Amino acid sequence: MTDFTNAKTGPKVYPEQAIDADYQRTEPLITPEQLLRRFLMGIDLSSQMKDPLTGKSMRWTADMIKDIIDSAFSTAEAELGVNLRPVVIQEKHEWNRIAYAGFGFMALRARPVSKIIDLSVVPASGESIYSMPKTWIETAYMPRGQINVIPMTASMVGGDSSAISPTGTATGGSFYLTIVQNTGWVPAYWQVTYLSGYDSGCMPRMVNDLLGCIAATDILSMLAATYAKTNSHSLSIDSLSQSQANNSGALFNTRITDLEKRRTLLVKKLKSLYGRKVFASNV
Amino acid sequence: MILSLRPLNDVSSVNSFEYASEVSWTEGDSTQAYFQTIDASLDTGMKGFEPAGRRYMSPATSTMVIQIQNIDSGKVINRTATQPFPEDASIWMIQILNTDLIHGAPQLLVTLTEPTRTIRGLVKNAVRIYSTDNLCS
Repeated sequence: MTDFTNAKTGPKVYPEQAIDADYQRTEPLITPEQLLRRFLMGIDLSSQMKDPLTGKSMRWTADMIKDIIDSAFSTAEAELGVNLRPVVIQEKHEWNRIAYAGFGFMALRARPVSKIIDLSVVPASGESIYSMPKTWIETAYMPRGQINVIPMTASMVGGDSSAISPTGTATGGSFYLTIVQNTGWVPAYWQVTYLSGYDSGCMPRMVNDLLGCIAATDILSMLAATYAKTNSHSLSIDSLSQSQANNSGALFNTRITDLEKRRTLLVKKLKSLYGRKVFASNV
Repeated sequence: MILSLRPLNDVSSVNSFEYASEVSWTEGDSTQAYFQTIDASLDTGMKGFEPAGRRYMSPATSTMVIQIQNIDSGKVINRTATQPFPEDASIWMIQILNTDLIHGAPQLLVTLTEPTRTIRGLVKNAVRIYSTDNLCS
């Protein structure tokens, strides 16, 4: 648990940059009941194979569906490269003379970003020797992971980084701050702490749809395996014959294909929302 | 033993309630949330139990604190649970206040203090708190 009392809040992450709305576009994490209603309507969730000891078919229970939703959640986070629930990240960034001259441009690694908790100069000792005033941190592009430092006080007017005064007690702090004068690049110079993810499970409906697609595909795939038995029978006696064929293990293929198409589309949309889509081409 | 909670709905007595997959309310409502303590390591779904987990009755004088977790330490709720029915020590209730400003699908950290031991359990996806804020994100 983190104290956000002194954190600086950026624009809304969804709908991005929104300041008011007359319609709610978010909802808590999808429930088992919602998953059945939205993605598996009318499908019998009983295994086709029976337990040889009890003679009963195993059924998908609410607890099992919750577990699959949990797995879908992890899969979606990995697939999107986006944190779906809040997580506080602390990462280090290099001091780059060119980026610093560009008003402290910094691209945070996690998305979306909603609050900035701290931006400090932290050497390898782990002690903070200078903490950037929050009023200097520009958060306008933060949902997509970009922050800038726009100093608004006289101490930075000269643009000379040596004007920064160490606020901590770490030995050698002043020296560490001034070495940037003589170099263009210092690794792991900045330490930035921020909040990434959607606010406490209030996720875009699109995200729940993606989780639903992933979970429903897994459920149908497992169910289909229990149907994978002989898929055709034929019987012939003298000149009479009868034959029967069924889908067997491919019973849910149409639905699975539809879900996979929708999943691909949603992944593309959500990746593009937070700048996670990478496009490469030869022109 | 793996301590867990089974959400209950429409609770009026030890003989009148419904098992639920989650307890839901709207942020800002004043309500009660009921749960049944279970041992999640027994009577599992694989053995055909629905809902899974064996009902667990704690000894007399046991106390329970349910923490509704939030990444913001200022929004974490620690609430002492009560046993509304003396006849059934497995049913616990927490009072939700209209000042509890928390939404989404928070995890619950349960601490059950018995006369001889303390057991804890982490319960995921047991509550859904809907927000009335159109910009909840």
